[in-house]
Amino acid sequence: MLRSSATDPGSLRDPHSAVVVQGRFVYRFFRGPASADIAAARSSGLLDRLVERRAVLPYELVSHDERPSGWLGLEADAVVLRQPRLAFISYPYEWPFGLLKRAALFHLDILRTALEAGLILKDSSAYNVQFEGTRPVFIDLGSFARLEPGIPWRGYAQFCAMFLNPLLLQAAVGLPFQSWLRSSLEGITPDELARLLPLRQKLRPSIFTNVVLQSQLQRRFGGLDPDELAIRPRVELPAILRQVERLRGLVESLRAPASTSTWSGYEDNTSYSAAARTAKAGFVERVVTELEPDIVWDLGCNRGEYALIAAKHSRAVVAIDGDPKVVELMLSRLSPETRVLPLVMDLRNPSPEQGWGQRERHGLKERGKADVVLALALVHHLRFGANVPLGAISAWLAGIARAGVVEFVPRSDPMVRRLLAWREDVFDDYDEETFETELRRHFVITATESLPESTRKLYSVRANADAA
Amino acid sequence: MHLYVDAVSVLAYVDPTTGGILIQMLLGGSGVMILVRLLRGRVRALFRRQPRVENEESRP
Repeated sequence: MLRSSATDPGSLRDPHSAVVVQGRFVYRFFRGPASADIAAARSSGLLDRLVERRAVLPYELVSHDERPSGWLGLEADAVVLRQPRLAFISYPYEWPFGLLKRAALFHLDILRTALEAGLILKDSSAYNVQFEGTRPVFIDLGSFARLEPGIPWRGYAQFCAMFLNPLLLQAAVGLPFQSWLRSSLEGITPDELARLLPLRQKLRPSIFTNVVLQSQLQRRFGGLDPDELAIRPRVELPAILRQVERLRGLVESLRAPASTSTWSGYEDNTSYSAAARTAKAGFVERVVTELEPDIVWDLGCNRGEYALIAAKHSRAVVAIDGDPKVVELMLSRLSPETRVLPLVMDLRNPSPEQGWGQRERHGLKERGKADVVLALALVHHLRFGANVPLGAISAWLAGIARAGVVEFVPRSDPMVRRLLAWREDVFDDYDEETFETELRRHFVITATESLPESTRKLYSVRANADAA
Repeated sequence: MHLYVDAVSVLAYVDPTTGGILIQMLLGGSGVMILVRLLRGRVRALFRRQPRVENEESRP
């Protein structure tokens, strides 16, 4: 039995392989049958080919002496690999449609490459894919297994639940999948999706097969084992490859329905003159250049204008917005090499700790702190749109970042007037003086700039030394 | 950053689901044959269950 004080809670399910995150590295351990599988993945050239394609992070074999301390009971013949850590871990329920689609295609490509090398993937969990910027990376090296001829592709149902069905929910039913996936970590079942699909969609052959028929067969025969069914499940490799190709074709054809959103154009187009926009960009660029952050979080990033600026001077930017359509728009503007990861997340209710023991999937806070946070055109939305007091907003920012740029949008601003249009103004505390007082509880204000042709003001802040 | 937890040897891996396996077999070309055998097997399973139930009920 694997005994460890340090295994990553996200890796607890496989009894033969585990993950330890320590320092700058991620260590992956393989014992028993898993060590033979990873050996096959290496000797077949598969792993190196994937590293070359940048589909898998570069790895090193870790010798016995170099194994991290605090780990008990690892057999001498276990295999230990070490890889660099990713800048930011994200989850399928935070990805915009475009990234889940990219992850799905990527997963199928990895599977096909593995199959051609005489291996297969044990599972098809969407959590096996991560992103560097918008580039997918396969992280679960423990998923590679030697192909046993005739054995069906065990991961197919999971691929449907975690990748295909959520994409179809959005593409064919018009509902964003993020909320659903956040609650159902195992994904969306064919049965659930079939209930929502319009008839026209159900009759498309590929959807009929992978969703409707699968759901019907599961209903009729689910819970019975092969003996009771009196069949011997046998699927040959060419059939699996064909199925992977067809799934790939289906996923490739899916598009998120385009539609306008209230925020996607409005704030950008109406709130700043050219001079204000230039000044704001300049201020952000100066601050980020000076701080040289590893990781920048752009909260309420809208179309990503400032995230892109920050990306030029940092290792990685995570650009978060609560509106899936806006994030989709931003994604479409990003080139594959831009180190910006666009995510969908409602900042009034950010991703919580989840999974077994509430520790398998980290909450937003647990993935901090950011070196720099950009809270641009955000505070007034939280204050008026979510009724969060300024003090609470300031405390929250200090809890997730070491420094940042915060924008104050006063009452007189047209956007605030719009937010308050139909509401009683009970916000006595909302003025520049109170804003600065609350900021100073947790931060030192190192620079300010009032934007030209605007009443908005920017603050460069650094967390107090005594802030945890 | 260390993440401390008692490693639990959690049971099996992904559930391929009956529906998932059957789809693959159908797509794999066995098609009609599979359906026929399935229905036969289903019927057989139904018959198998009845005697068992009777035996249990007749025990004191």
